Amino acid sequence: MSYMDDTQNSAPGSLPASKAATGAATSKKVNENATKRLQNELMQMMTSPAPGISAFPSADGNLLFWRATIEGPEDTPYAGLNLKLSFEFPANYPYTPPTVLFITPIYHPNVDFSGRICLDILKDKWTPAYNTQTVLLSLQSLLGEPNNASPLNGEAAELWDKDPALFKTKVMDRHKDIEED
Amino acid sequence: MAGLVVASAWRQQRRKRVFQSVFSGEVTSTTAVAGVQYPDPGQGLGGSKLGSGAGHSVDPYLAPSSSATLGHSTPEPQPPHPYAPGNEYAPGNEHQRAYDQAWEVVTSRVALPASAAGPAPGAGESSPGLSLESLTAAREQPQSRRRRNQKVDEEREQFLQCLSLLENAEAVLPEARERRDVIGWYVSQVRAHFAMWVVPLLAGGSDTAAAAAAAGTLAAQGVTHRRHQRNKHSVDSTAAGRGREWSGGSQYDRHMAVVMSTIETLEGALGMYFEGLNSLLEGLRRASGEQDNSSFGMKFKRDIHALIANSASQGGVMGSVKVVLTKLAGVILGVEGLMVRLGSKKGPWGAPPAIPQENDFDVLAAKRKLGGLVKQLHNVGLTGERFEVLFAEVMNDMMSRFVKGAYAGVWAASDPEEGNVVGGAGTAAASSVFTTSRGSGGDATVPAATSSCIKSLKDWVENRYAQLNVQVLSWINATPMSLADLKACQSLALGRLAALRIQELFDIVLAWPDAKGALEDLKATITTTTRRQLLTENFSKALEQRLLHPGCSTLEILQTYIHIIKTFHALDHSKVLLGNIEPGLQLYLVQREDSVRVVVAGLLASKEEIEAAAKVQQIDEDERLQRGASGPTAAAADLGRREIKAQAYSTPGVAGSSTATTCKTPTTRSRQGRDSNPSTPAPAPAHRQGPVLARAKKVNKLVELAKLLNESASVRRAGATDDDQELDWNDLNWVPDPVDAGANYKRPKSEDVIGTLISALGAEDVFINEFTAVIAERLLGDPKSFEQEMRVLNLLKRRFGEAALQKCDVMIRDIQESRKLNSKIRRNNAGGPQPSNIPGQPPVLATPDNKGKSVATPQSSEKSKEQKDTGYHARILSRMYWPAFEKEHFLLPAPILDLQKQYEKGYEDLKSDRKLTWLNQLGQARVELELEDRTVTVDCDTVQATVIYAFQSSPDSSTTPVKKAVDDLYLELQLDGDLIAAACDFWARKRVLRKVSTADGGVFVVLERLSDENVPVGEDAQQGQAVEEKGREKEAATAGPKEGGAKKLSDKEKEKREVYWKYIQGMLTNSSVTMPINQIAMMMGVLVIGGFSWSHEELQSFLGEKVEEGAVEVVSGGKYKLVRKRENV
Repeated sequence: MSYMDDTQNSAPGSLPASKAATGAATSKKVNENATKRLQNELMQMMTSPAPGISAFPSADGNLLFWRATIEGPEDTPYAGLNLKLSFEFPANYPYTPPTVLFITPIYHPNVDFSGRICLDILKDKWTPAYNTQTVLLSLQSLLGEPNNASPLNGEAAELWDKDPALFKTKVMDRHKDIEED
Repeated sequence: MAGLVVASAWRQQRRKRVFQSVFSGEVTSTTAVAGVQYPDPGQGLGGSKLGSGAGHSVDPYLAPSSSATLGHSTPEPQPPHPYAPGNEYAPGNEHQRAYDQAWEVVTSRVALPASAAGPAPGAGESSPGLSLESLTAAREQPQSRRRRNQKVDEEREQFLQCLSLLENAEAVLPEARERRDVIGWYVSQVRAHFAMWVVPLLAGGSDTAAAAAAAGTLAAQGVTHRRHQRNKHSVDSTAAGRGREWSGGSQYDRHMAVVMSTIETLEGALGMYFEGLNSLLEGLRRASGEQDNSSFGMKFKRDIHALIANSASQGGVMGSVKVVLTKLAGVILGVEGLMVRLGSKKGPWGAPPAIPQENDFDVLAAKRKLGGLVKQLHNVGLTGERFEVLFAEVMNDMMSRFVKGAYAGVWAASDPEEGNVVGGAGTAAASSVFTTSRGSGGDATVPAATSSCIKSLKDWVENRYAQLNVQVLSWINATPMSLADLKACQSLALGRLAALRIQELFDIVLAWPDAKGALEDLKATITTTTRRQLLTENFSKALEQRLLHPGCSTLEILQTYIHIIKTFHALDHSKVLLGNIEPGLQLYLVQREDSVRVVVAGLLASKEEIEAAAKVQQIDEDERLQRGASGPTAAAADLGRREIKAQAYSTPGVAGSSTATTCKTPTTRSRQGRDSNPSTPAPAPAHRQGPVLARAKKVNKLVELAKLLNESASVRRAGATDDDQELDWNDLNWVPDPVDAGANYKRPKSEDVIGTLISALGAEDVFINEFTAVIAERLLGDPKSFEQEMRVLNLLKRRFGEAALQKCDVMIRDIQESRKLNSKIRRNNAGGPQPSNIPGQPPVLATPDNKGKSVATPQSSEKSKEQKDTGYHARILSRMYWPAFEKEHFLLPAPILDLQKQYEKGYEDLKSDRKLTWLNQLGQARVELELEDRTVTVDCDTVQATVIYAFQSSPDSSTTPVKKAVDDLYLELQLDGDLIAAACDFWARKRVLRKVSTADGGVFVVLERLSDENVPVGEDAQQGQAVEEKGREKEAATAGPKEGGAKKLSDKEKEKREVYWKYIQGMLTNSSVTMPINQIAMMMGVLVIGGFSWSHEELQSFLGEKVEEGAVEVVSGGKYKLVRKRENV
């Protein structure tokens, strides 16, 4: 898929994961740190889960690729929908943000048709204090309160205010539950 | 005739069997040669010969293996001869007839007798056949015949003439086409005779020997059985008779008799054979005038010896020879006496036993006897290769037995003894050379390693063993021993010693440090990889059998382990051997839950305990000296006594010592229970585990560790620098790394018992965690100084680093801080609330828990106002750094609760943002009880104090003692019933309470006057009560903590299941909608911090539960899938 090589979500100053670490040894070391951190994050999410969101490493056990699920919050056009996301963590995570994409097709002002998300904390506002859970919570709230000032999907941004009913229809049209095995 | 033929056929078969088994190829080839050589198929009379051969035996030696012909050709003078002259010959062939007549005369003269009487047709089988007597008689016969012949001179003359006629047949009787070789005929005749008569005798001898070997009734049974089996055998009845006769005598005598009779038989037979041969040869010499046929005699002798040697079956006569040789060699080498010592187990333990001197009377007699025997055997040809092999076997056996007999259990490092015998005859020349040190190993650098055992063993080999070898070999004209052979012998003997020591190693370890001599032996002898491997294998096996079983307490195992470490360090500084035997032990220790605890408790043992242990050891030492040297086997015998002593010492050691808080741990408690249980060290199993038990009973802690820790502080500092250096070029004691060392092997310098032990207990953090737990317990238990703990902590820090033991630091600081805080709060409370900013206050790291400690006097709480301020101390624990404590809920006595609240307030004034969580059950209290006739002061824990407080008499009802039931207290205190019962029992033991009834979980009454103790109160007061209560108390004491542990565990487990379930949910939500169990397990393994602790089965059953709950479903391919919740869709 094309979204994989997209670096749009990366912070401007940060390097892509592959270039961030130069030597193999440092790369490994960094990788280990990232893995450890992600293990801890996972543990934290499992022991104190937040409602409506969940995330888990991909089925091959690679800790740097996660899948996440956001249940559409009530009182939003996305209520009752299960939205899948992919997380790709760089080797120097948490110093650079993860690349987050919607896998489920979603009609949203800040998400383009490839699933790319416009969210500041995934770009320049990223700090290592954020984690997967906070990112997911932010995205969850983004669903109910899109940032229409900087839309990726102009039509959606317009409709959000103008015609919620049509917006809802568009959302339902666009939505497609993906089944993966 | 038919009967004879049948019988003969049977015998032939049997003989064939013997021949085939012994030298099958040879016999057939002999007959084949005879067949080719002697009969001449090209002769004109071939047809008639063929006919006669088919009918009767014209030519006896044509078919020497045929019994029928042999039976006929046996030289019976009288019976009608089958080939009387004129029977079959063509009338014109006078030459042939003359030749045959001459042949007849010659052969009948030198023919060998079958027995004294000669077999009448058909009677041969029923008669006892050839017994010793008959054969001897048979030997006599030719002599008597010769005498008769000397008288009847013409017979002899005729014989000689006939012989010369035969010899010169070519010239004299040219017409006689059918000529035969007399010598060849005789040889085959001898063979046939030997096979027919002597071999069965030898075999019979073997049977007899076997029968004799079997004892008593068995022998009789065996004999009858054999008789049934082979009732046609003529020798049988004789053999049976002999077997019965001999079953009474000693085995040696019986076998000696067998050997002697065999020799006699063979001598007789040989004499007979040579008699005939000599007369033949003499006649031939005369006839031909040649002198050269003496060489033929030699050849014949060699052949016949080979025949004898081959016929003497291994299990038969040679078996008896072996027994006899063993006995005689045993006497000569002094092994016999050693066996006696070994059997009685009474020999002195420590010094090698005295070996009988070389010029001892018995030895000399045996030597003479052996000499005679061997020479005789040599004469009859029984000293062939087989004899040499046999002798080698015997000598081999001797060496094993000597080593075992002389050195088993001889472990002391005795001062070098004088060699048993130096010099002596025989190998005098060799012995002077042989005294050079053995050079087969790499131990030349360690001259001190030559222990007394090794020295005496070498002497023995040189002066006794080799000498006997040389003598016997010279008697039988075998290749004599060379100097290299002797060296090989010596190193062989040392190998045996090594094997012995390896067998004994476990006992040697137990006897440490008394068995240093044995270690020296072992050190000097385990020079090859094979031996080292054997050692580790054997020792591991012994460990498993004798130590690593449920019958040994962890303490015993650990103590033995310490001995093992020390022993192996003495044995092999490189630690490679130790490393090889350790895995099994470590694996087992890891399985023992309390092993870490025992080690930690040992490390923290107080000085008092060390001294107590030393005292016990000293007494043991004295006792042993008094009783004389006591072997390891004897150690088991006085097990009972030691045990009693151990108990006597353990009482002051634990209860009296103020720091012995670890006795509260469940493990130690259960061990105390075992100590008082008389059935545990039953004497019967003790003989195997005896030494271990006896040792372990002395102390109930690994005080050795504490000692080592204290000692090693200085030693290790010196050693540490050595360890770092790669190579010390000036180290003259340098030896290369052992061959079986691993790749990354690094030679350690010190024995480092503690380090080895700790590393044996698994991961470092396991040890540290346990250490932390023990330290926590001790810190909470004892209010005084923590010198010992601090010291141990510092020593451990040096080993593990500061960071690993940070928790302990924090804990100790917590306690110290708490003290400061206590006084501060007290001051503040006394002087009213004050501003809470205290300069220099270190930040408390987390929300502190608290443990209340109350010094309360429940009976007199109203009178001491000032005690409220001074008596209440709390310890503030930083939660994250202490082991998790469960909070036990119960209601504190009201005055204490007030104090607690005051304290809490004072604390919160000091540290505004912190809250205290009280752990009431962890405190201690000093209770002063004012009873009617006495005042009791007891230090106890808070639960016990609370319970006794409930018995406080209210002012109005002071006349009658307070009486309460456990169930009432349960409601009153909201405390666990078991704990209440345990506390009541505690007070009952202190003679403060008295149990009057078992109703309502037990009813207790305050014992106001000691004189009331035996007054029966209520219906249940009975004599047996005290016993019952004690039993209950113990039960409660042991059950209490266990239950708590189990509960905690299940809580933990529940928590774990919850977390795992979340993981699985997350996995099935996000990673993949359906997953097989293997993948789930794999993911869990990767993702769960600290590892996924479930087995595949556990996971499966867990998922099965979830399927039942309806949370998960199983879809195609056995994959699991979350059941979609429908509410949102």
